[in-house]
Amino acid sequence: MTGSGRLIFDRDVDPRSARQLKLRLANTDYFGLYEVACIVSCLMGAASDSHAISIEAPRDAGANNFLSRLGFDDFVREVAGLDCMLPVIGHQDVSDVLVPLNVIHSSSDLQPIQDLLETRLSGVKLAQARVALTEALWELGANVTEHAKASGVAAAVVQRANRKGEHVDLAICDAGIGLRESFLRGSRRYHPATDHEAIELAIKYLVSSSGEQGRGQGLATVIEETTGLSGQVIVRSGSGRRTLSRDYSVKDALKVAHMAASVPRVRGTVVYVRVPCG
Amino acid sequence: MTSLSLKAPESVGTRDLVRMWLEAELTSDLRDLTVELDCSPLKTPTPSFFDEALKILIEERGAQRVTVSHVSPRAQLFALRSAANRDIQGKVAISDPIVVRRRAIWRLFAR
Repeated sequence: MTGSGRLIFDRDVDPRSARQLKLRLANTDYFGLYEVACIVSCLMGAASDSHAISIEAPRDAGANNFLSRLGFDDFVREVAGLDCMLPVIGHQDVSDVLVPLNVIHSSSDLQPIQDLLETRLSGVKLAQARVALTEALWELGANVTEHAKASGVAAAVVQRANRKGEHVDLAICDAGIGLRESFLRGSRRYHPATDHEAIELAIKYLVSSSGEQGRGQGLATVIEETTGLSGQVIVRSGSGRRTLSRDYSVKDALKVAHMAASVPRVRGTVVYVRVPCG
Repeated sequence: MTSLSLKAPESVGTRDLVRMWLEAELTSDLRDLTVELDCSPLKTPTPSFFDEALKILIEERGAQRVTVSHVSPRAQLFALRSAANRDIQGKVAISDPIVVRRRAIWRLFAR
């Protein structure tokens, strides 16, 4: 994985085909929570497949710092037994991290994450944003525990006011079976041929891999709430990716559809939510 | 008609937690019962909470009616949507909804 401002996945880090996962982050000078969630998904997949993992930490101080603040070091140690040797960050430097990388094994793991998120969100003025984020945590976390067939990870950061305004980013990812496989293994009512088709199904209200009447409200409601607040949701699974926001045009949708084939694979599913709160 | 009062816990945002809570609280058969579901302690009402609760109370346990109380306008929407999705609208009612106070907006107008 290399990058110069943007995160790029090398072909050889596909965790389904490679026996070894090499995370080459040395030249990466930018990380957002979405990028970290994609890396985490790949890492967890490689660890669960017992692939060899090597991580080259970023040389860029800012990128390094962001990973440290998210607790990436501890996370990698827990998941892969590796030491990234990231710089030690003082307590006062982590004020933008609402929730560091937290592993979700079951629904009961969501409660302490919610408590942490609520405490840290108390400074956020917009009540609707606080509600949207905690609702997203529960619904997306539940999707991991119910559908992914693997553990997940949640993290949240607040981006202080800049030219785009203050917003909170929440990411929930897993290295599980992915949306397409979940539909194919589920009720067999839906048969998405590609990861992109599976995402299109998953974001629809009342469409669920379980096929049960009334199910399939969680992700659709998170998208409705987030875009209603002028936020953004990115859903990524396998080689599919879909960005949803209020000002998302038909042109953007066509571009995404065209690019779908070239989006590198992630293991499992990544859902990233950005909610403006300033 | 006899009624049964239930108070939702603070945090039951997922279907499996709703099921665990209700299985611990309920008798097996709710036929001819009206269930008063007090949601005031609930910190984060989610669509999954209402959908699973209504499914268990009405479809699985046969409750005659479920009255959901102390819910925000958004939570009311979740409850009523779930009822409509499951074709049980006639069995779900909302009581004592939380009214969103518009004082702040009126203050702006008063300036």
